[in-house]
Order: sequence, then C-alpha cells, then structure tokens
Amino acid sequence: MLRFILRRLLQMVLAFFGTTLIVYALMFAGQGDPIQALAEERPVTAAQRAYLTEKYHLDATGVGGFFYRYFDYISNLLRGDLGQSLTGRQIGDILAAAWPVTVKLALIAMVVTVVFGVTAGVIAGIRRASVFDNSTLVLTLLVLGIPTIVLAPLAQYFLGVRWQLFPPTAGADPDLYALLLPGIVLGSLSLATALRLTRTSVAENLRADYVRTARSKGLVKRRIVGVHVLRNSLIPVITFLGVELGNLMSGAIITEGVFNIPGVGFNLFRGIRTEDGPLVVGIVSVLVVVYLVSNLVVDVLYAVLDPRIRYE
Amino acid sequence: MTRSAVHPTPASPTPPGGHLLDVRDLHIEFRTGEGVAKVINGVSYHLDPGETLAVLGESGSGKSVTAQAIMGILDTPPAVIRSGQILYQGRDLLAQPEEQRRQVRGREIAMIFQDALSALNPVFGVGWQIGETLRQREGMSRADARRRAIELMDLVKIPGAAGRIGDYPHQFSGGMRQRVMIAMALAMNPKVLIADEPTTALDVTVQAQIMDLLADLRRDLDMAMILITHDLGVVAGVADRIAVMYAGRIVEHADVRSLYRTPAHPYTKGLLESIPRLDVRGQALSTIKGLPPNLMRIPSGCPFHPRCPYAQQVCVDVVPHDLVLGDGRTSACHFAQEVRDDSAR
Repeated sequence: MLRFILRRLLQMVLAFFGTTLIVYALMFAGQGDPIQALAEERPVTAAQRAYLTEKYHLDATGVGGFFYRYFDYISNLLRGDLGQSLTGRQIGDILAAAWPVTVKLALIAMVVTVVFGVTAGVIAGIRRASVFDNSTLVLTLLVLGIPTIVLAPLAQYFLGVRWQLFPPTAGADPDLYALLLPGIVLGSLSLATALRLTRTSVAENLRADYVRTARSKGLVKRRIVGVHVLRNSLIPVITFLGVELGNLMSGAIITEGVFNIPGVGFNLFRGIRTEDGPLVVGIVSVLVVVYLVSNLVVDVLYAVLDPRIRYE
Repeated sequence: MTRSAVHPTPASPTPPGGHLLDVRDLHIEFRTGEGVAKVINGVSYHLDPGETLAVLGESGSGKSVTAQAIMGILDTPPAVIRSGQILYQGRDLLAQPEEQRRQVRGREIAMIFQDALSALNPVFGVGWQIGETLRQREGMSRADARRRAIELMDLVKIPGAAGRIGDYPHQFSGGMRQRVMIAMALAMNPKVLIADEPTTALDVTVQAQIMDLLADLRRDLDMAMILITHDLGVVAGVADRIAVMYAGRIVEHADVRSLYRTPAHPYTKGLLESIPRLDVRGQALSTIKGLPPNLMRIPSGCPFHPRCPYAQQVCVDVVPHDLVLGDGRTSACHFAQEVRDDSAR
C-alpha cells in the first residue's frame, strides 16, 4: 500500500507538470502581445515595454523561450508564489478569498447528495419496482436531463425571486443561508447520480449469495440489510462521492456564475473571459493538485473499503 | 470416501410418532413474467436423528428449492409455497410466523452452500462472520465469539486457525473456504445440517476431504444431514438413504445399498449406467437421452416419459403414484417392478 501511494505521488508530479504545461501553453499561445494585453487599451511607452520584457523574460523567443518562462513560473509556484493577476492583485489572495466560499458550497452540495441521494437510493434499492422506486427514477432522469445552465436560473427565478424562499443571489462574503439554494442546485446532479448508483448497488447486493447465507444464519432482516448489504453496496457509492467531492471543490462555473458567488469557478470564469493568463493558469494549477490529491484519497479509500483490492 | 454407510444409532430421541424432519407433499411454484414454473410437485421426505439422507437430482430438479423451503430462505416472490407441510420435531414450520422460523435457522437447522466464495461476505473477516451468529443469536461478547470462532475453525481442521481468523474469504483456498462455511453453520450446534452441493465447486481430491469431514462431523456432533448433490459418486460412502428427484418430485427413494444394486426407476437406472466404470473396458458411456423438462410445461403423465426407454401409453396418460417395494423403498414408476428386476439381472 505504501509503495502504491509513493508511486501514485510520483505519477502526480508528472501529471502536475503535464497539465500545467498544457494550460500554460494554451493560455499564452493565443495572446498576440502580452504586454498590450496587460495594459489593455492604454498606450505602452518604450521604457515600460523594455521593463516588462525584462521582467517576464519576453525577449527569449520560440520554444526555448516558452519553456524558460514556464519553468520560471513553476519555480515561483513551487515557492508558493502564484504571481499577480493582470488586475494587479496577488493570485494567492484571490484564491484565499474564493476557496472558502467554494468549499462551503461543495460541502452543502455533498450533504444534500449524501442525505437525500444515498438514503433514497438505499430505500429504492430495497423496495425495487415500488411507487417510491419508480418516482425517484423519473425525478432523477429529469434532473440528469436538465443541464445546470437551465436548472440554476429556473431555481433562482422560482425559489429566489418569485416565492422568495431563498436569497436569489449571494454576493460578496455569503453566509450559509445564501449558499443553500446554489448548494442544492449544485448537489442535485450528484444527488441523482448517487441515487441511481446506490439503488442499483443495493438491489444487486440484495440478490447476492452472501445474503442467503446471512438469512440462513437466522439474522434479523435489519442486520442483513444494514450491515451485510450496505457495507458492500456503499463501496462504489463512496468511491463516486470521493471523486465528486474533488470535482465540487474545483468550483462550479455555472452555478457560481448564476448565483453571483465569488468562488473559485466564478474567478476562473472571469479570468478566462478577460484573458487573464496568470490568473487562469494559477487557479488551474491549484485545481490540478486538488483533483490529483482527491483521486489518490479515493483510491486509498477504495482499498480500505474492499479488502479484495490489492495495490502493490 | 471409503467410510461405511452404516452409522451407530444415535442417542437423541425421535419425537413420539414422527420424524425429526418431515417434508410432506410440498408444492412450490415460481411466478415470473414468462409464466408459472412448477418447481416442486409433491415432494415428501423425512429425516431421522443421526442419519444422512442424500437428495440426488439434476440441476432444476428442485432439490435446492426444497432445502431452501425448509430453511425458510426462499425468495417469496417469485416463489410461492402452494401446499404441503414441513414438520420439524412435529411442528409445521410453514405455519409458523417469521420470527419463530428465524429462531430455527442456524440453531436447529443449518445450511451450507455450494460456492463458498460468493456465499461468504467478501468484506468481512471469516472469524467475524463465524462469530456474528454467536454474537447476534446467543448474545456472546466479542472476545468470547472470537474464541469460539477459533475453536470452530479448529474443529473443521483449518490449519493455524488462530492466525487466520482475521483473513478474508478470498484469501483462502476453495477447500478451506468451504471449511469456514461449515464452521459457520456449526456455530450453534444445529441438529440438522443441510449441505447443498458442498463439493461441486471444488477439486476432486478436495471434494473427498470435505465429504470425509462432513461425515466425521455429522457423527461426532450427532447431527442429521441432508446432502444435496447431483454426483452419485459423492453419495455412496456417506449417505444412509437416497431420494432421487426429477422435475420437482421424488421418483425413487431407497437405502443406498438397494438403490445402487437394483434401481427401481428408469431415471435412477439411467443415472447409474452413465457413471464411467473402470472395470468395463471399451464400452461407450451410456447417457440419458433428451433434456430435463421445462418446468413451465411439464410433460403429461409421468414427467420422465419422453426420455424413458420403458415408456408406454399409460406413462403419457397417468401420473404414477409411489409404488412401495418393501424395505421402505418406493418408486414412482408404472413399471417399477420390471425396472428393478431388469437391474437385478
């Protein structure tokens, strides 16, 4: 197991360099004149141009120059310096402000997913082909079929504006209540998937041979379902939830955009729209790390949950 | 498997006027989307303390379903028990509420299954699974249950039991896994052990070890055993009596010796003739022609008639009753006498 984790950490280093390189290349390849982009519409004097060229090593051209700047960036990154956004703010500060909001939002979505999705999935799996099972099937298909870009404004309009049950937008420094509706919208997609997955898994495990054995041991039904079936059924569900939490932590561009939540996705989207290369690359680099770490945690968790899984 | 078929008469008493376990005229059908499959059509057999009854038949003949009905672990639906009784110590299990039946499981009647790898829960250690019965049913403490689990694993001759208590099912070989299953079934000293094809998933050499173990345990712990199998070779050394099943009925019922020597049902005769013999060289292996019947459309009259070399018009028209042949033998064949006489020749 330890060797597996070490190998995965080494792979993560490679994956980190690979993804940041690609994002870095994509972001800066499209730019005609980075100095003009930085200055936007304002004129740039020759002295300023010389200073910035010197500062960002823009005099080195071609592939060599690109890698020179890339490694320059990475070495700063490894020292914890994410650099400055084109707006002049420290990217580290932007992330420090945005991340707690996104994490809160992700946790709300996760709680919604687990409490409603997994619970309903277990019930639907036990009562297969019942009214409950069929109605959750229809509902989840509906949710899975509607894209967030439609679902979020709908929820915002009806629950926020029309019936005023929730604040329609969050704004700066949102409290938990303001994040509740976006959290539910964000969680609804994972909720639907978690429900379907749990239901299938429980239904499948209920038919397993070991259930017959547990019954022949004279165990009560509650124990057979609650211990034997659940322990097996939740292995794929927990794996899914782990990956999903990693996704949620990386911010939700659409939901954060619709509800005006200053989270990671919101800032990332703004960076892309304003061609703010340093900001986009900075955020993505950190997201890559979050994603890689959460995947590693899921893999390790998987082996802990299922003793048949062996890593070497 | 050279053990004698005759076992010493055990001390435990037969309840007055009855058998330890008595299945009477059991009818079970499976209702599925495609129709109704008549899986058990009037099965009757009984088991006395300390004896071993082998229930023999092809897959689909209903031997496992009968056993699961005894245990009360049939999935209903799709299974429906139409009629019949299952008397255990004189009381009809089928008439009892679920909670009472649950008390019988494991404590009075225990069962082991064919494929121990899928029959054991993959995510719990074997010691935990053996001890679970004791903790849940007998209220034993964790430590006591663990100690007892080690004893049970020793009993079924798992080498180094104490060291393997925390291992998971997949870490055992097939034979050892089946021993774990047996240990689990024995946890509460049941009076009846139902072994549903306990050796089918195993290598031949391991099969013999497991059968020997089961026979030893049955004798040492003074249990009665129902051994379900499709393998005539497995039965010979262990069973006292054999009930042969076909299409959800017992077609022949006899003590082992008589059944092997002079089968009185064409199906049994066919089965015995299809065993490869070492003492007859260069002879083509005989088989039973045709296929087992579709349980949704069981043939009229005797269900075996389309495959039977003895079949006459009467077999198509009339369902044969159990013909009593003496010595407790029965055969559900219109020509039972003839078949037996042919076998004796």
